[in-house]
Amino acid sequence: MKSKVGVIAKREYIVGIKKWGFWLVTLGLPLLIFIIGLFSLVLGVYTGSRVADKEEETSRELGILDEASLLDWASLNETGPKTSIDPAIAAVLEQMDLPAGLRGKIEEAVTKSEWNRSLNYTVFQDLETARAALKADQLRGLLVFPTDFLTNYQATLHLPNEDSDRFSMRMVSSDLRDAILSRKFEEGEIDQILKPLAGLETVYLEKGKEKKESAPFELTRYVLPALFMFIMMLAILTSVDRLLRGLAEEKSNRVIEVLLSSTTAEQLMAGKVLGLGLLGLTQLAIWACLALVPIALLFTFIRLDPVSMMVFAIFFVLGYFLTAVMTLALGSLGSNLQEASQYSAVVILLSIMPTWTFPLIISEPSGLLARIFTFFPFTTPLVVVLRQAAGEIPTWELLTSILVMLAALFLAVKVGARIFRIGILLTGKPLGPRALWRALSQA
Amino acid sequence: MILRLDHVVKKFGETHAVKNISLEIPKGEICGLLGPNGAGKTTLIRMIMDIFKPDSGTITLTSGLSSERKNHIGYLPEERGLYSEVKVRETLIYFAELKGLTRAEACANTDHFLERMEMTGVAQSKIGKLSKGNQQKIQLISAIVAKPELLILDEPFSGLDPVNMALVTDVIRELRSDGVSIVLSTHQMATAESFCQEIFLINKGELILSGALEAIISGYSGNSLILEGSGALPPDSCYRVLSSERGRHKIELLDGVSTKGFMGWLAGVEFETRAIKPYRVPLSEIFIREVKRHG
Repeated sequence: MKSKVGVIAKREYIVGIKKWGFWLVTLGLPLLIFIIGLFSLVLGVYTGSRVADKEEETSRELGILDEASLLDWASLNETGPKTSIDPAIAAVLEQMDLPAGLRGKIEEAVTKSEWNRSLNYTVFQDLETARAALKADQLRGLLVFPTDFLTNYQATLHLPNEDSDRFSMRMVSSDLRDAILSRKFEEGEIDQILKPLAGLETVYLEKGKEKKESAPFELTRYVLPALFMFIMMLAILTSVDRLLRGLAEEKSNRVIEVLLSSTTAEQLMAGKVLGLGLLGLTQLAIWACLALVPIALLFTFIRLDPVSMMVFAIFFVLGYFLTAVMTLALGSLGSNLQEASQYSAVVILLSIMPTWTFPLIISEPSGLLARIFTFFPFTTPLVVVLRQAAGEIPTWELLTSILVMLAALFLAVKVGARIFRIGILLTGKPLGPRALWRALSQA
Repeated sequence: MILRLDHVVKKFGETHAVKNISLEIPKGEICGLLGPNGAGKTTLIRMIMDIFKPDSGTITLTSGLSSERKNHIGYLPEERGLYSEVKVRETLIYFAELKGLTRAEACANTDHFLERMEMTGVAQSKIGKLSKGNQQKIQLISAIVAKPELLILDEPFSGLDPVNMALVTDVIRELRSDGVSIVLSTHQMATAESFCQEIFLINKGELILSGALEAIISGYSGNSLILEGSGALPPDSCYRVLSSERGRHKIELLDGVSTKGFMGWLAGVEFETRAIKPYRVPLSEIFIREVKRHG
């Protein structure tokens, strides 16, 4: 005789996969992300070029009246347009492996905007001449350093009018800082003051394991784990949402009683959780295929570690089942979708707790908070996946968290089935807390 | 006997929904499960369907059937429960598979009953688009599609026009002829009288009356007669009047008085008799009297 759990699971899967809403999220979301990314890139390049072109029309000269004789301003001037971009940006573009034409356009836009942001200093000897040049639009602005600048550090910026565009003073500030420091300290001392821990020596009490070769770029340390966490959260939440909607529909149109005349509550629960779990895995698989294309083409520096992939799959399954069982159980107490969502909200909130504390966790993946979340079943999946992708979870913690999840799942099925058995037949006005407790204890 | 309930009890909090009920459903017959609203019928049905477990007592399906009771009992609930956005045939196949049928069996049975209920034309329609009457027919098919040994029908004629009522009536009688045991739960006493061989009357969780319908009605009807005529009916110690209305008298002969004897007395009084016939107490009256008696 066929398994009834299998019949229910098969139906839930087929009905779910035929819904246009499923394909809207599964294909639409990556497409939307792609379009937004592409749009942002094109807009960034276009806008950068436009801003750079506009800047070309505006004077790059900054007038200087240095009564304190702080430094030789003229010697700091750029001799011509930049011919290369910042090395850090160049490194990113190198790793992205872009088509030659597109890379050229990006480099050109960045180069132009960077060069046009830098200013040329024009030194004046008197205020009247300098102000006259400013009025005649020969200058972007006029910076005046009084003779007592090094005592009270009060300078004045003159601009043509209140509507004048502001510009970055970062370079000026940097040049001034270097000049002031070189007056007071020797060159060697200045480096030490600016980077006091440059010569830091690390001493280990014990010899540890060899560290894995770290990813060549910060993206894989922070962005990839966050991405994994986001995808897992999205997959679990969309699957659980489908569960609740299906249950609410069956309660409101009274199909539940017909179903229970053929199956037990436990079989019904198991079939639904299994069927929609498989649907969630299908969605993940499609997303994975769609993600592999841009990774293969553009982001070749991202190495998808098979162990991380396996950890992701294991914790998705465990996390989904735990969340699904408890959501279905608590949601069954509601007569409609709104009530079902309210009753099961606590489970969802617990599951997404790591996202609220993401900055704390990502800055200290092995810190106390991350460790607590690693062993709290509802938060375990998201945090373990994040820590694993960041390379920060010891094997014993990984294995222990799996055991914790399995134990929690076992308990959840026992308790959840009891609640579900009572909840699915509740209709009409929701029970008050006392009546609900009585009903559950008699289940 | 196809199903036996032994001292079944069910409480919900302080409410005794079912109090120590014992009954046997005979095989191959149509039984009426009757009672006022809130009597405990639905709770009893849900325990038979194994949706609820009794607090005490046992419910046993006849030997010879496999242990999973649900697979052998079809159920038509009072409130329609169907997927509105799913097609008719797909829904029925699903319900049949849940009763343990293979896919092939489910498809074959579905097509057979769709044809029998004259619903083949809507097999590919979404259930939500059908009329209430057609939805009720689909609901009935969902209860019988697995060809169960025991069928529980709760208000099967609800929402049906006279043509479909006749169709459903035929189907129920056919099922009975095929040996299916049927439990009919209804508030329509005329329906119960017309279908049932045996009845179980429940009130406030207790079984207050049970037995063969004809025997019950005969027992209540007893020596009751309908007398139609003109003139005043003189009182006498051989009978008592149950009701009188415009020359139509419902009377009950007292103990020891035979119909022949009464007719002999009637011939000698000033009463122009037009008609005299036995009075068959309707089931609805029996229902009301018993509920009041045990109220």
